[in-house]
This record gives sequence, structure tokens and C-alpha cells, in this order.
Amino acid sequence: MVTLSGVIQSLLTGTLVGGYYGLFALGLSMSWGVLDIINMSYFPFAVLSAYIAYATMTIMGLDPFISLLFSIPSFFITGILMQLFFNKFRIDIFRSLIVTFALLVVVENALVYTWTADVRRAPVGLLGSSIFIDSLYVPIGELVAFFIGVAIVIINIAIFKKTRLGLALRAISENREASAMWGVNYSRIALIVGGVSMCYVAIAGLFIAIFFPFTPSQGNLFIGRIFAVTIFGGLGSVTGAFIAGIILGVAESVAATLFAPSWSPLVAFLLLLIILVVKPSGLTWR
Amino acid sequence: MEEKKREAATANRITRRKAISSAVAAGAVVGVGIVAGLGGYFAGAASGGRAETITQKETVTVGGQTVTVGGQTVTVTNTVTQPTTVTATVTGTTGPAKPVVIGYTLPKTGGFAANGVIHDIADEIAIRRINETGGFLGRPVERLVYDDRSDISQIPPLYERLITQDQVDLIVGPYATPFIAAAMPVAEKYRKVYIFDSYTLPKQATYEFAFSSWATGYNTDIEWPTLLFEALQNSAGKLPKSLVVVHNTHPGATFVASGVPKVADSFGIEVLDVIRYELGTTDFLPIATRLKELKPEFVFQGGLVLDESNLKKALDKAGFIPYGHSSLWPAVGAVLGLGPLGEGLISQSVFERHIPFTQDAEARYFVRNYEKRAQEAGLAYWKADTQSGTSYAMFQILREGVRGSGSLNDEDIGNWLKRNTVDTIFGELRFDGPNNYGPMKTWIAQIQNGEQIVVWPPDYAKPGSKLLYPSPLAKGY
Repeated sequence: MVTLSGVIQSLLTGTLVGGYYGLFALGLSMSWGVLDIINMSYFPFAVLSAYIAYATMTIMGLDPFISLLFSIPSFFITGILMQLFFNKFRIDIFRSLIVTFALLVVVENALVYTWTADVRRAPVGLLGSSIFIDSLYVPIGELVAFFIGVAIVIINIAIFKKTRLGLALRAISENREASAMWGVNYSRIALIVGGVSMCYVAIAGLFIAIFFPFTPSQGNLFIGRIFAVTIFGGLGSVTGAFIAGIILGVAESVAATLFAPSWSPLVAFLLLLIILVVKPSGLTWR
Repeated sequence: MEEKKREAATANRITRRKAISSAVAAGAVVGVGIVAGLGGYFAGAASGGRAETITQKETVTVGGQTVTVGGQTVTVTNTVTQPTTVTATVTGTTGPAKPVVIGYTLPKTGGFAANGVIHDIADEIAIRRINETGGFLGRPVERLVYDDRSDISQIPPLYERLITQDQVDLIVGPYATPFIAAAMPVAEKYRKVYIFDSYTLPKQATYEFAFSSWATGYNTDIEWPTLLFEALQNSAGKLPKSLVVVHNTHPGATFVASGVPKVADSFGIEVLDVIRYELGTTDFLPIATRLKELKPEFVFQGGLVLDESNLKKALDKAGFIPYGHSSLWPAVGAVLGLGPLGEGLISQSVFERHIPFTQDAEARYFVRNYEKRAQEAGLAYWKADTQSGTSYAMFQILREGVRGSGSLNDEDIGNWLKRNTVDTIFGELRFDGPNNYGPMKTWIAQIQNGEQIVVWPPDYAKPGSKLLYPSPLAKGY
């Protein structure tokens, strides 16, 4: 028998966990929506970020968030280099799947070579605990991920609405050729988007180290869900991806509480199908 | 010895001359290439006297002349491709015996790789031991291992390739139940003796020559929960009043979990719920929330690898820790990484690195060498335990089968195993029951003071240990 507090708890944790799904999907959504690059390599790169966080905590004895000082700049540069490659060889959306899947295999194998396939668990301290309010609990790590996601969405909205870069991004995602006629330099903008998308991947990957024991292939567990969130949210829509993540997280959590955890994927993906039938463009908030 | 080497060298020189003569007859220019090829071939293959027929196509470039045509300077090259057949008899001393090759796959990448690396190291030690003790029938033993990438669709074609193209002498199973199940029809098709180490569906292992090194027993679904509740009753002195079964959709976990309600009922334990979750679940908070609502005294989890660690962490976040928590096949390193939160987790074990297991000399050899190698490989959890132990025992069984039957013939080995008892690092194993399963030899282990030890039954428990229940960490009731 499920109680009211059980339902409220599932809504709460579903929102927070869904926020993390949204955060994880931001990079893919930007890359796919704006650049027409479906970048499968984001998943092992997220795990690489987790290993950087793990090393920061266990070898250097520092706070996991310090690892972002290493991972964000290096991921930004990596994103730019990847985009340079995509631009040079004119990689279109379909070939991007193949090229980045190959990259996924390469990065994952590099992780196995460097760290072995062994399970790693980072000592996360307070981030692994909860705040208790009466019978409800609020997991701190998930709460932090949620608010970081919110902050990124707000910054993105501001950039999209208030800056020339945002205007150029909107123009490119609407019509790349037409935007070029109006003087938008696609190649340069694409480098920035590629770099920034990888920064989002670095941030999402940090939380893999905080939430889970992990191995080099941990990122693959998220592929289905993150693709669903990205499509559901509307390609290129950071706000849409984040909200889609929350909806998916809540759907999974409530289904698990009311029915059974094994129903979670069914309910979540059924919801995705219904929304795509009703509104094929997804949520598309920009 | 020196004289024999000289004889062999002389034999090689004569053979080369013969080869050169034959090649010259085939054509002067082409012959140059043939001599080089054959010289290398014979040098690498000097063994007993034999006749070899080699047919190969040689591409030879002739010319390189520069001519002037119509005012332009052109470099002309002529290419000749000619098949040449040469028959030569090679004589010499007998070299090292041809190795016996054992082929199989392991998940070196992908979702199962964390345990795959453990099996890889244990197998390496097992093969080393076999070779140190005379190999198979006087021949050295090698393994040919392909990475199945934790992808079940790779298993049948890779095993087909091992048997038909690589023509390995023997095969063993890959790692993990679904993969072992996927290779079994291939083994059956070619009538290969098929020994495997981590299979949890004994009722489906119907192939005549299938043998499990993990002695789960044929009725694990009943025998394992029975042993668990007996341990709680007799070793801890207390049974839980209620429990919840939480299991994933892995067929082995589903099979074992399916027997729990019936057995629990026979011990007077109320089963409050059976919660099923998808394999690959990462978010365990909904399950933790549900358990917090139900407040069972005991959680029976049918999970594997990281599930137990993830559920324990989620339970801690939810503010509920049950009095008892058992699992099936956790990644021990991940549980130990939880620190105090991992303490008290109960699981299955066939081998741990303590007495009575280490009273066996070969078990000590295995522990010493495995742990050294695992540390060199950089494994965070490097201690010998069930995962590595079953892998090592798999090769022990194969070794005894070959030596006992005196044959490399698969059916001979299989038939010998069915009739005999095999001594392994976790005791004597028999294969005389249904589907070649003997009695269950899987024991109750528990994380105590940062180490996994066997606590039940007394014959296999670490001396002086007992099952700790209820957990002092329990909270949220």
C-alpha cells in the first residue's frame, strides 16, 4: 500500500533525478540541434570527467568540484578540436553517428587501458547524504546537480535572448544557409557550441563519480534515456531538454512507486511516444 | 645438443638449395622472390621430415627504364604475376611440441568488463599452473581469448570462429550467465566439452557435456535461500519476521529470487513484497523509497555487480537501513568502497582467501599469484574470491578431465568428468546429478571489518566467525 508521503517523495526524488538527466542531455541537445552532430562520444567523455573527479578526490584529496578546473578547459578544447574535424570533413548528421560511435569505442578503450575495467567508487562525503524534512528526504548530491542544471538553463536563456551570439545560434538552428546570408559565421559559432557542449558533458560526468560506483562503460547505461530526453525536449533546446529530463524522471519515479520499478522504462518511453505523436517537435523551449 | 643443432642447420641449408633449384626452374626473376619466401618459411617451420607443397603468387617488378615518347619522359615498369608450385622435403630434429590452444571470449570492454578483467587474470594464473605441471599430455597450453565487448550478439559468431577457423583444441565458457548460455548451442553443435564458471541457470544447462565450475547445485532457487535462513537461525540465532525480495531481470537472479517466498514461508517469515527492476537500473531511489515505506526486517536482493552498492547508497539517502541485507553476486570491491555502509552485506561465495580454503596447496598458489598479478594490473579490489576462484577452478576441471581421460577428445573428457570427482581449490566437485550438477557448494559470506568472509556452514566458515544479524547500522524503523 503506497502512502501519500511515498507519492510526494517519489515526485520529489523524481524531479531531482530527472534534473540530472536534463543536465546530462544538455550537451547532446546543443550539438544535435544546432550543429546537426549526434555525438555518441559524449557518453564515454562524461565517464572521463568522472575519472578526473575520482582522481581529484582520491589522489589529490580535493573536493570533486575542483576537478572542473581541469576538466572544463580540457573538454572545451577537445570539443573545439572535434568540431574542427567535423567542419573540415563536412560530417553530416548521419555520418556523425558513425564517426562519433567509433570515437566512443576509442575513448572507452582508452579508459579501460588507463584505469582498467575495475569498479571505482569515490568518497563523496556529504554529497552522498540527504536532508531530512519530517518523513521526506532530499538527497544532497541530486539537489546540487539539479540547481547546477537550473543555473545553466538560466545562463543559456540569457545568452539566447540577450546576446548577438544567442541570435546567431537561433538563426543557425533555424536555417544554417539563410543565416550565412545574413553574415553569421557558422564555422566559428560551431566551434564555440562544440566546446560549450563538451563543458556540459564535463559537468554531467562529474556527477557520475558522485552518484555511482563506475566503470569505463558506465556512460552506456545512459544512452537510451538521454536520447529520449534530448528528442523529447526538442533538439537544440536547453530549457526543453532540462524540463524533459524532469518529466521523464518523475514519470519513472512515480511508476516505480505506484507499480514496480520494472515498469519505469515502459512508462517513461510510452510517455515519450505519446508526446512525439502529439507534438513531434518535442517541447522546444528556447 | 650442439651437434643436433648443427644437423638441423645443415638440413635447413640443403632444403633451401632444393627450394632454390625448383624456383629457378620456374623462372629466374620470379625465383628470387620465391627463395626469400621459402627461406623464411622453412626456417620457421623446421620440424620432423615431411613434404610440403606451397603455391604462392609472386608479384615482381622488372625494369624501371626511362624512355622518351613523343617528347615526354616516361618511366616504364613491368609487373609480372606468376603462380609457382614448389615441392620440398624438410628434414630436421623435432622442435617443441605444438601447444594445445583453448579458445574462449571474455568481456574486456563494456558493461561486464569489471568482472571480465578478474577472470582474465585468474585464467592467466590457471594456464601458468597447468604449464608448470606438465601441460596437457606433455604439450604446452595456450589460450586464445577474444573480447566479446559484453555484447551477447558477438558470442555465437566468435565461438564459431574459434572452433571452425581458429580450430582451437578445446573451448571454455565466457563470463556471465547470458553469455555462457549464448555459447552453449555452439558448443553442442560441434560436440565440444563445455566447462564454464559463472552460470546461474542450472536447469537450462541441458547440453550433455556442459559442466559448471561454480557448484550452485541443481535447485539453487530452493537450496540457497534455505541455507541463508538456516544461517540466520543457527549462526546469528535470529530470524527476521519480514522480508522484501528485490531482484533485477537477469535470468539467474530471477531464478534464485523465485524460490525465496516459498522458502521464507516455510521458516515463518512474512514476505511483504517482491520488487522487480530492470537490469542496468541506475536510479535506486524509488526502490529505497518503497522499502522505507514497507520497513522489512530483511531485504533479499537478487542483483549483480553494482546493484547492491547502488541500493545500499540509495537506502542510506532515504534514511532506511534494514536489519539484514543479502545479495547474490555483488562486486565486492564496490561494496567495500562504501565503507561502514557496506558492512554486514551477505552474499554467495564458493571461495575466500582464508582457512579452510587456503589449507589446500593449490589454493595458496592461486591466491598468492592472482593477488600479485591483480595488484600489478592496478585493480582496486585485488583479493582472490569467488569470481576469480570459479575461473581458476574451471581450468582445474579441464586439466583433470584431459589428464584423467588421457585424451584431448571432447567426448572422452566429458565422459570422464561425468564419472569422476575433481579436486578444485574449493573442494571436490562431482558432476553426476541432473544436467551434470553435483551438490551445492555455495556458502554464506558476509562483509565483516572490511573483508568478505564465509560465515556459514561451519565446515567452510572462517574460524571463529559467525553471521552478524541484526545490523547495528539499521535505522528508519
